[in-house]
Amino acid sequence: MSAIRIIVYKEMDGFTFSLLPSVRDYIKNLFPESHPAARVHIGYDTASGFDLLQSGIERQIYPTLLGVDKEQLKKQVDNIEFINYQTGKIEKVNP
Amino acid sequence: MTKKFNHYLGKAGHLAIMSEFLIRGWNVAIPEVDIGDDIFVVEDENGTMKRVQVKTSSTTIRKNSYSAQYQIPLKQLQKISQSPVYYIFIARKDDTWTKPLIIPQVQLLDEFAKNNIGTQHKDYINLYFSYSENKVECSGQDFTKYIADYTDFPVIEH
Repeated sequence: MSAIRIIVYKEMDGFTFSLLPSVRDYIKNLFPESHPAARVHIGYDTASGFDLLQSGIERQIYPTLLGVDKEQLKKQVDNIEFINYQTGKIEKVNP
Repeated sequence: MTKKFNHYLGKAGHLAIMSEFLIRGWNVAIPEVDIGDDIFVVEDENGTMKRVQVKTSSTTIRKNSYSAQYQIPLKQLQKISQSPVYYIFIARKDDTWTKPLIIPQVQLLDEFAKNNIGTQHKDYINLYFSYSENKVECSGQDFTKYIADYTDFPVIEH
């Protein structure tokens, strides 16, 4: 069992979630059928609903960013770590 | 070498890289206000924009090689936003430019996080590149694959 680290960057109009190349390789090794993306941007027209981890939006991006659904993740991954380099904050979430 | 000359060297490096993009068919722009990005590189047809950070250095001659030193702010490297950033490193040697090393931000961050390249000093990372015949290394990691790697900037026919 293991952890996957996702980088979160808050921008003016939404969030960008990204994976480092080594993390993408790691996911591909763990799930050979997966197609992890480099980054996914979730845009908002308004600033409302911007509270990332309150909204549960992180779970919505698993399939698009990681290329793996939640059930598959649960079997092989302990934690998903969301790291925000702007704040230095790391949030650990169970998949 | 004076601090003033470094400004001239840096600007010359920017213009050399801008020239290279133009000859490849990409449009280029310098932001009016310096917000950290050196160059915007744009594919006019569809508006695809990539941000480029140019890092320029003079070189120090070694026995069978030469080296160049670059400094990048850590915060800048860690800021991964929706439009990708490319770091381009060039050095001046024998009155010519070296071939540029073109490294996507995520690759460089990965090299830093995974392979501990460079040395961190306060909020900056100092990178020492060693150039030998057809090979470039940084902190023991082979960076040769990044030499003139224009994969993400293919030639655009006009």
